[in-house]
Amino acid sequence: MIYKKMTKNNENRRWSVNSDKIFKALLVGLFLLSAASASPTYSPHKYQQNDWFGEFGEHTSMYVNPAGIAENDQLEVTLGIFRTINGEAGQEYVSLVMPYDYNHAFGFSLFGNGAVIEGGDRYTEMAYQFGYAYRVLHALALGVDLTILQIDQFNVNKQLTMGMDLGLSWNPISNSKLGHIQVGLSLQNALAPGILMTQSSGYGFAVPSLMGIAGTSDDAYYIPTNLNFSVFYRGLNRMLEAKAEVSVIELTKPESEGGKGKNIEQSFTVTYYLSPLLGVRLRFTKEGYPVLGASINVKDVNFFRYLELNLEMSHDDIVEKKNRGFLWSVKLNTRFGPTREESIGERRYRRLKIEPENDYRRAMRYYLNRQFLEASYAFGKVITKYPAFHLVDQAAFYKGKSFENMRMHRAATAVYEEAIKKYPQSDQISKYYFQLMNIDYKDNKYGDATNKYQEIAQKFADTDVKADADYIAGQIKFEQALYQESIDLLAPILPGNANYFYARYTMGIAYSRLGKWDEAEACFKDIIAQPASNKSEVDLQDAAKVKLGHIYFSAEEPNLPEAAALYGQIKVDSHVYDEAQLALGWSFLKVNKPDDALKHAQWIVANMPNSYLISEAHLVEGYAHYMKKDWARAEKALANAESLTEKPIVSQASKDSAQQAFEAMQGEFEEVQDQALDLSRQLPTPRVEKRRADLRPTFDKANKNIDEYATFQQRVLQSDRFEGNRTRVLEDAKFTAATIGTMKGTGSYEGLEDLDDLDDFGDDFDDDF
Amino acid sequence: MRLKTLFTAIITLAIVSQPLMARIINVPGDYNKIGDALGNADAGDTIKVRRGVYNENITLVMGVVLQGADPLTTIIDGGRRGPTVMGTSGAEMSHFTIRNGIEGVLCENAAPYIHHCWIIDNHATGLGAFISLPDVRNNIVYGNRWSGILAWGAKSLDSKIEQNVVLRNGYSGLTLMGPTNIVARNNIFMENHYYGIFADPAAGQTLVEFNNIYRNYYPFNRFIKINRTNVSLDPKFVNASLSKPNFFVAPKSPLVKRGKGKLDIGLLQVDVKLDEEPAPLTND
Repeated sequence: MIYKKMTKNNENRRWSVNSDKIFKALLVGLFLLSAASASPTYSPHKYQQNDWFGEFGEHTSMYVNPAGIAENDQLEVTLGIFRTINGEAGQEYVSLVMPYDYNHAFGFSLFGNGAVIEGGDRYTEMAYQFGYAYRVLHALALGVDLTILQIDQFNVNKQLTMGMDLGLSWNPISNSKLGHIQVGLSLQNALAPGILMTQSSGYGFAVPSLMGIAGTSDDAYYIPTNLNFSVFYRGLNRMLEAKAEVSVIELTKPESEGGKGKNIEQSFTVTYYLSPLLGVRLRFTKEGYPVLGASINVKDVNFFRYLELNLEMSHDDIVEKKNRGFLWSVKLNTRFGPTREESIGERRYRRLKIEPENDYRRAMRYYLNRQFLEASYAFGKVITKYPAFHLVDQAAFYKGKSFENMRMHRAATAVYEEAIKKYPQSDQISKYYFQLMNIDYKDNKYGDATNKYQEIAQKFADTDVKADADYIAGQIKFEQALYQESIDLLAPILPGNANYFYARYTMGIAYSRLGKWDEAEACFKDIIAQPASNKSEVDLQDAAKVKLGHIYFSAEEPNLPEAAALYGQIKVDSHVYDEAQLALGWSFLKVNKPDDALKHAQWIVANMPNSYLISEAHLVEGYAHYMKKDWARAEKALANAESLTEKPIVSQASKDSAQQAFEAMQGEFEEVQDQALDLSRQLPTPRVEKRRADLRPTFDKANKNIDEYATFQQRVLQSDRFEGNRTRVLEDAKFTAATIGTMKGTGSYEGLEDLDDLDDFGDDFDDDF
Repeated sequence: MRLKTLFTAIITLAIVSQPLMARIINVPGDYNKIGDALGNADAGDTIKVRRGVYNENITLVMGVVLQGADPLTTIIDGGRRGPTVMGTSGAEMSHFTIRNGIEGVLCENAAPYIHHCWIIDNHATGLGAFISLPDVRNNIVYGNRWSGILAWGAKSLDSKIEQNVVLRNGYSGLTLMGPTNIVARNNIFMENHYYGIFADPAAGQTLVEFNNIYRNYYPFNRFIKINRTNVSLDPKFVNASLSKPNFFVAPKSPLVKRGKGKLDIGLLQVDVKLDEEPAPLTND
């Protein structure tokens, strides 16, 4: 088995070596065959097949095959001159080729052909070619050119005509081992230019015909259609170039013109580069002339990226004596400007340079639209894909905030901790530390939050983050009932800071808890005096007005007009509107205006049945009816107040049940967080996108549960806040209802005490602080 | 006996405590195509590809290691349909021939680790890197139509172009465009048809050291600073012919131990990463 394998390997190697030799032998054979079979022919319309041009053209002039220009990778200008030594015949051309992107090339060529006959008369032809080549596949290009011919036959017959050539170019092999092979097939004069036989004063024009077959006119001669087939080879590390060409001249020769048509002509060229700068050439033209030539090139000279000079010579007498003597041609080939690689690279670079910016903006749009899960993935992509992007640290910050906003505190913590390690020099680092403190605060981990606060105070005392950290620390102290410490931390927060309103509000409450009413009043007035810049601050101002109103209401010398004025400023869409309405109700009771008090109390009853103040509204309603001596209504309102306050708004059982459900869900939510974090670190491949989509329902369900729990917790908070009031309202309602009941029992309502003596309304709002 | 048992238990524990999530995926075997294997791989997985010619264009996956059996026989043929390999940050690819694509390897804002690969005969750039620079080590970049390695606006502190052999490409061996700032060292740039190393004015900060720049059309242009650690010497490959190619330098090559860290310039038999400066010589 091993022997067979070795033999097979040896055979493969032998074949590989032999194939090289065979290939080179084939080239030599073609060369010799071409040389042997070259024979001179002559046709009066030879310019189209003039092999000097044909060989000149290569791919840059589109002359023989318009598809050939697809091979150009740079802007190229070529100048070519052919002359006979006696100067009687000559051809010139200039050609410009422009590549674009991977697949397109445009070309323009201008050919001049002329000869002088005995007597000094001159024949000239000018051909203007506009061409385009397109790579249908990378290995296959199609080309077309449009030629406008301007012919001046000895100043007697002037013609203007046009034609079209078609071509394809196929590159089946291009590798280092075998070399580069280009196969070309073209149809010259697929649309054959026509030349009018009749003379006219100016330029005559004949409509071109399709291959000289269709659409012909008897008055015109049509330049023949020729089929060209070529094989070009480049190999030996670009040291060798060879080209073989076979042409079928006059593919569709009309019978009327006599002759056989379909003449086969071939040519062969080989160039060997002695060095990268110098090559020597041997050619056999279609007319059978041997041509010797040399090619010199140099790169990067001034603004020319490439300069090549080709010189070729032959002699008329070698094949057929035409008395033209030496024939020589010069071709200058220049390339300048960016290469395809550079142009495509430049466009690609520009696109990619803004790609991180675009991705960052896309992520930010998600964030601002509150699509936080998508935002976390999108910011994650920015971090993973563009580690050198200048906003990558900000992306990390917003990724963490996205998780925070989804209450995924575990994932957010991981993001910030990772960012601290990865971007230690970033100017965002203080924000990472602060967010970690903030998360601990939200999770009620006051000890950890306080430790982090110490670290921030030490490391980032001069940054904006310090004020934010002071605020959170102040809130923690407040939650811990350390009111003076809370005030000390919150006091340095100045107007203009985003937390100023909240800091002042907390200070106001803290001062109130400490019984320092003047200071509390000052804090609330500060809030009211500042212009609010967003909805939260507007809400806070409303709350401050209500609290200030309570201070005026409950003062030793109550200032009811001021209090009422403040309550009256609260708008119906405010979150404290019910509290303001209730306070107004109490105020009007206090000044003996039960009808006005009723209005406000009944508004709460009618419009805010879910308010936690509804029971107290019924109480006010009951008192108002009592003051109006409407006993039946008073009883009814007081009974409502009683029934609503017999139990807490949220029972302990429902709190326990909700807590248990939340804890049970916590485990699942942590798993969701871990998965979301993991997915945010990965690039969005189809597999990752599928996993993200699969996570979505679980995330939505967990999120819904958390939202519901958060809403429930808000209700619990309100319930707890109202607990002190609940007992009072219940007692007051019972007492007043009992009083009315007693009077009903005696059959007389005389002797009922006025409400003025029943309660000191001044104490009503103390519990709100 | 008890010691032996304990030892066995410790070894077993060490083996089974490998991350259970990381998989080995075989091609063919688990999947017939490399692209399918990549599409189903997760970060941490390794895809092992047996010898053969795979006619596909692939995109690497972050965190996935793609390993061929042998660079000469494990071939990814891009079929001129586009880039043969699209790079992705955090991916690793080694021991392949990457050929016949438009670009061989194209890294757009991506920095994979490409090593021990042959990037040959692609019809545009061999390895193109835009904005980010992949870690390119121990590769042969040969015979590509345009530049061997193109870095455009690429900056990296971690990635380098090291220990590569870049030869006979149509344009320059290493082309540096835009504000590129990278490290290129211990490479051989040889017989490229334009410059060995070409830089545009914005890329002049690239550190080019300990390279062999030999027999290119031009060695380097005026915008790149080439210090004296770079040389121009016949590398004396073991076998430079493509029938039995071996682009390691022969034992008597002047490039042996001539590179930074006393490493060979060109391919290394044993991969050594120069992450830190070598320790100073002592009197010991």
